[in-house]
Amino acid sequence: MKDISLSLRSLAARKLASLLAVLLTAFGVMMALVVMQFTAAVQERLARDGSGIDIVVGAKGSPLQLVLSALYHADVPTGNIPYAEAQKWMQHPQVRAAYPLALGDNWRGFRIVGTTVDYMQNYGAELAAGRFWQKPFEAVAGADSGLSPGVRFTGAHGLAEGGHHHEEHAYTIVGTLKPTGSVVDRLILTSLDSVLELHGQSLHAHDDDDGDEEHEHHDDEHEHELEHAHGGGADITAILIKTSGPIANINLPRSINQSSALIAANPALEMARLSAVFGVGTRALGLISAFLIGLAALGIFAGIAGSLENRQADLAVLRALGYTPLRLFRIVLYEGIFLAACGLALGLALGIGGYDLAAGHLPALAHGAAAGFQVSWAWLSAAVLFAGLLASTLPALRAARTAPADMLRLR
Amino acid sequence: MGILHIRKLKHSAGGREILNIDALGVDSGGRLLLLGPSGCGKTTLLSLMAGLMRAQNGDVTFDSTNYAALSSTALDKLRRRSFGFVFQKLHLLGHLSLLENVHLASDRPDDAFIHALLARLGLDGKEKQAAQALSHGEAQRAAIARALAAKPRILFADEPTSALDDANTAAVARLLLDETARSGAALVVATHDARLKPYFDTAWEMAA
Repeated sequence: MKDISLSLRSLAARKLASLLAVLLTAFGVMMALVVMQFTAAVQERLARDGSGIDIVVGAKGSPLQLVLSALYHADVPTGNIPYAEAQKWMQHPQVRAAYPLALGDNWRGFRIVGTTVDYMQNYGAELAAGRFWQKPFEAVAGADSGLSPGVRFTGAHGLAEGGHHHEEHAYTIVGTLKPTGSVVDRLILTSLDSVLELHGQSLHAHDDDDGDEEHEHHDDEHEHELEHAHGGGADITAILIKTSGPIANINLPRSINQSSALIAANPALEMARLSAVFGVGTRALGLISAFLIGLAALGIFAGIAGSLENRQADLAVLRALGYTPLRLFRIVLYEGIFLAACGLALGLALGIGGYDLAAGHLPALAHGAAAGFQVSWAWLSAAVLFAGLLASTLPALRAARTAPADMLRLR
Repeated sequence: MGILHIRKLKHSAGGREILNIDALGVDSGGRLLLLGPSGCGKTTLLSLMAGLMRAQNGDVTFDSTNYAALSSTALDKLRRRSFGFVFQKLHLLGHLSLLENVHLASDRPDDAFIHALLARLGLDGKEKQAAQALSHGEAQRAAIARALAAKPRILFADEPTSALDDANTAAVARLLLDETARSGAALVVATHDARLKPYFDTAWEMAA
């Protein structure tokens, strides 16, 4: 009879204890896997939303707020910047690509962003239907908005629901975008002109007066990120910049911060700072997972060590029948490894399946789950199998110490 | 011709000498009964002969190989290759089937031989039955089958008939004698049961 068969039959004889050890291991693995997938999804999402942007330029204020508002559309902007000043930096020789953004309004919580078509293309956005805008107040809707071509709507002041509506200027959706898995899915995009005109401004100096006359509705009691221009030139909210290289990455922000009233923030740096904060939570969950896996290993140890008490006679019989100590060691070790492997397999299935299920209800997580196998899973698997090995080593050593003469005591 | 020899064997336990044997041998295919009351050291002697434990003084040799010269692993392999065991409490592994218990005795079981053996012992059809579900008689025969499955040169049996009535004692004795005779194995039985004495060529009687 093969040693591995003997191990499996022994585990089968202790169904309940074996099942508990497997479930305990599976639970630890599942927890660890969910944490890993969630962390990966968040990181992937941040990277995708960052989409190669090296610098975010905006009004003086918190650099983190600037990055969160302009890049991730998760905060309110730090203020406005003169378009003329912005253009100066957009045309800087160290700039490879620049995307101006004008924020100020929303439709049912979806931010209306005045920008250029290049901005969408930077995220790999493709039209699902219709076309890009060609004139003011034509808009393209991100995949999550649920809008379709031909729909007309009015924007509301501010970046969250509840502001008063610009009833006199309705947007028309002329195109919708395919899902990108990035921030663009949650935006309604239009030309810079549309947003500026709505707020009494224009990229063209001669339009300024008309704009102020047309829009008397400005309401100070509402949050309104894009204020009317005062004394001439238009204001925008921020610029997203891709630099020409790593040196420009260092020099350009310094130049902007020193020689203008603007602030240049490095998204990678700011998000690293943010990660250092929310990373504590992730690490705590990671530690809980490690604790659970440790507990599972303890469960495997307790199960096998406990069973040895009742198996002394069996082990002594095997020794009498010529089984070497090494064989007994191996038989008991296989039991621990098998329990850990079963727990691992079940935990992986539950962790991946459970996360996929959660991602089905929380689209923000979906792309992380679709990312598939991660190297960290291999490490997790190795750690769990090693824990199983470690947990069964002591009982296996004890089994190996069984002497054939123990049969005498067991008569 | 002798295959197992004991010379000048002394063994103590708990500060008391329990064995002091100048010479004792087992012939190939022979039958040896170690007879004596409880505590006389017969099981210890059986264990020393079978290599289950090491002699404190003196020599035990099998096929001219002195156990003292063998490593622990070599002694394990010798037992596996050459000896079969029937224990007093049978010690079948309860969660394994009858056939799996029999297969424990050999890494390369001779299936045809084992099936014929089980048939002779009246155990055919019971192969897949869990050992813990066998009757005492079936378990006794299964233990004998396990002891013979690897075609041992010597079969050691410790109190094989304790707590059996006369009829069953005779049946077990005949089974052990017949099967060892059939396979050419020597038989060494340690027992306090004097009813077995008539079945053996040689009885080594031990005093308490």
